[in-house]
Amino acid sequence: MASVTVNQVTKRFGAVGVLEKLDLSVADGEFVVLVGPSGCGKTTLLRMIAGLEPVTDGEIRIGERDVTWAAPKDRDIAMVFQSYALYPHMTAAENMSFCLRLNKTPKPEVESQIGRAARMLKIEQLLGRKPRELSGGQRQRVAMGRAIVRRPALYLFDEPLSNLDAQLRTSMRTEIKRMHLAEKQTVIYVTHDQIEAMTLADRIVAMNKGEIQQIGSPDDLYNRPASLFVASFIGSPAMNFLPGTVTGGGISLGATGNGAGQVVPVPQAWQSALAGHEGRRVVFGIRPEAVTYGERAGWPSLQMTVGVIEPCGAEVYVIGEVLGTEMTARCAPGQVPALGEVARFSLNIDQMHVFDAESGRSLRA
Amino acid sequence: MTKLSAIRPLRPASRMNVWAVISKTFLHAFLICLGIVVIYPLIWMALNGFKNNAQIFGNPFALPIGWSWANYVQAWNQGVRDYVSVSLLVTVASGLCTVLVSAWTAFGLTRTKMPAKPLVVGFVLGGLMLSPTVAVIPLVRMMQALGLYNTYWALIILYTAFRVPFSTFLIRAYMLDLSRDLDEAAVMDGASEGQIFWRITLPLCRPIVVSCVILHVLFAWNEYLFAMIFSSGVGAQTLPVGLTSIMATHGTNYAEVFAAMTISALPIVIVFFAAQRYFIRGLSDGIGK
Repeated sequence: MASVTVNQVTKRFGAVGVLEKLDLSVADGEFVVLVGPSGCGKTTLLRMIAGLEPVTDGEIRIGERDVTWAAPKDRDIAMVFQSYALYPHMTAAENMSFCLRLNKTPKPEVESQIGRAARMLKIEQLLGRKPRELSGGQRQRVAMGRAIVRRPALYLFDEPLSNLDAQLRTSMRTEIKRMHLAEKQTVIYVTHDQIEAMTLADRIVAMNKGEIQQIGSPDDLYNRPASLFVASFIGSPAMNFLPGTVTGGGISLGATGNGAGQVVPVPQAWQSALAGHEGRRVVFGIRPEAVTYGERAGWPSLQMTVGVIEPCGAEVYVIGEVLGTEMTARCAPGQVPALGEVARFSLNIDQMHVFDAESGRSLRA
Repeated sequence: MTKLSAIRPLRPASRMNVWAVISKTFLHAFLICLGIVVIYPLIWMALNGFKNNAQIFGNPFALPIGWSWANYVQAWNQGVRDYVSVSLLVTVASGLCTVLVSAWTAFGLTRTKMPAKPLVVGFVLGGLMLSPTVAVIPLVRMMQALGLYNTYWALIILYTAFRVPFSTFLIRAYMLDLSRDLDEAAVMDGASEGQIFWRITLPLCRPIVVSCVILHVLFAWNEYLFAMIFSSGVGAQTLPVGLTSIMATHGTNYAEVFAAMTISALPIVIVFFAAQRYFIRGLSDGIGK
C-alpha cells in the first residue's frame, strides 16, 4: 500500500500546456477518482503517475519514493486500460500471469495468484479462453485480474468501464468497489462519467482545462460545489442555472441589473455570504430535485411552461422554460403537469447555490 | 391502383436479378478462363515429364501413354537434387534473415522515439527504388573482396539486403495498426523492449510475417540475375541457374527438362497453397486496412 503525492507537476506537449503546476495528494488505501470532460488532462495525469508519459516539471512520489523518472515497472503499480489491452494471442491465464512469468516467479506461486484473482473476479471457468472468446465484461474482469495478481501498491484505472453497456457498467462498478474493499489498496481512477465518480470515490478530483476545480468527497462536490463547472458536471440531470442579480432582499432572477426580475429570498446560511454584494451579477443554481411541482408554503415559486416530460420510472423529469432559461424539475409519478401547461414550481432554497457570474466561483462563505 | 403499386416494384427487381445473374455468369466464366490460362501450362509441363521426345513432338497436347517416373528420377539424379538443396538453403536462410531484420526494423520505426524518424523511414524504404541491375558491378567487386563470390553466402546476403526494404514496408504498415495499449500494458507488466518485440508484437504480426515469407520464397526461389552472377560455380548453383545448365546439357531431351522444371516449381506451389490463408489476411490487414 502507498500514498501518492503529485507536487507542482507541469505537462506540456511542445508549446501546448496540458497541466500547469498541479498538486494532488492521495492517502494510503484511498480511492480517488479524477473526473472531468474529455481533454481536461485527467488521463495525462494518470499516465504520468504510471510513468508512461514523462513529466515536464515537478515531482511525483509514491510512498516515500520519488518516482518522477522511474520506469513504470519500478513503481510497483498496475494499470487497467480503457481498451483492456489484453494480449490477443494469450489465454486469460497467460494474460494474467505475464508479469509474474517475466519476473520468473515460481510456477506454484503464479498458479496460486491466478487462482486467488480468478476466484475474486469469478472468472475461474474463463482462464483457458483467449480474449476474442470473451465478452466485454469478461475481458474487463481479466484485465482487472491481471492487475490484481501483481499485488501492487497502487492501482490505476483509465476509464475501464467506458466500453461497456449501461447494465454491465453498473455491475462492474460494484465489482471494482468490492475489489477495493477486499484489497484495501490505493486506487486512482479516471472517468468522465460523474455517476462512476460519485459511486466509487472516497474523494473526487474534478478537473477542467488542465486545472483542478475541486477536491472533496462525493457529498462535497454534489452539495457544495466550488464552481459553476463542478455544479454543472456533477449530478444527473445537471443543476439548473438562472442568471440573476444580488439585491437587498435576495436574488433577482432573470434580471439584467435593473432589478426587474423575480426576487427569490435567500436562506440564513447565504445571507452573510451575499452581504455587501448588492448589484453583483450572479448565477443562481438549483438541482432538479429541489424544484417541485406546485406551490408550497414558505417556498418561493416560479412559473414554468412545460416543454418536455421524461418519465424515468421512480421519478419524472419535467423540462420547461423559466424566465427565458431552460429548467428541469423532478416530480413524483402521477404528480406531473400536462405538456404545454403553464404551471408554478416551488424552489427549496435551502439547496440553492450562488456563483459569481464573472469567475464562476461559488459565493458560499 | 393497388394492383399497379403491387406490380411496379417487382419489375425493376426482376430486371436487376437478370442482370445480376448475367454479370455473375460472365464473372465466373472469366475467372475459369483465367484459371485455365495460369494452370494449364503447369499441368502441360508436368504431363510432358511423363512422355518421351517422340510423344512430345508427335502429339504435344495428348495425355502420356504411360506414367513412368523415369524422367523425374533421371532429372533428380542429374543435378536437380543439388540445385534444390542450394535453393532451399539460400531461400530459408535469406527468408529468415529478411523477416527478422525487417520485423525488428519495423518495430524500431513504429515503436521508438528517434530524431528525424520520417527521414529514417524514407531512407529504409528508399531501398525499394534501388535497382539490382545497377548495383551488380560494385556488388561483384565487394563479394570478391570478401571472398564470398561463387558461394551461396553471397546470395543469402544479397537476397536479404534487397528484400529488407519491401518486407519492412509491409510489416511497418501492419505494426502501425496494432494498438499501442498492448505495448504500454507490457511496459506496465515489466517487459523490456526486446521482450515486447519477441513476446507481444512479433506473435501478433504472424499474418504479415507469413505473407513476407511467402513473397520472399517466391522471389528467392525464382531469382535469376544474382544467382547467375554470384553462384555460377559448381555446388553453389540455385535451381534457375541449374535448369539453364540442364537445358544446355540435355537440351535435346525435352521430357527430362520438363521433369526438372516441374520439380523446381512444385515446392513453391505447395508453400503458397499451405500458407494462402495467412498470405491474403496479412496483406489485406497490413495494406488494405
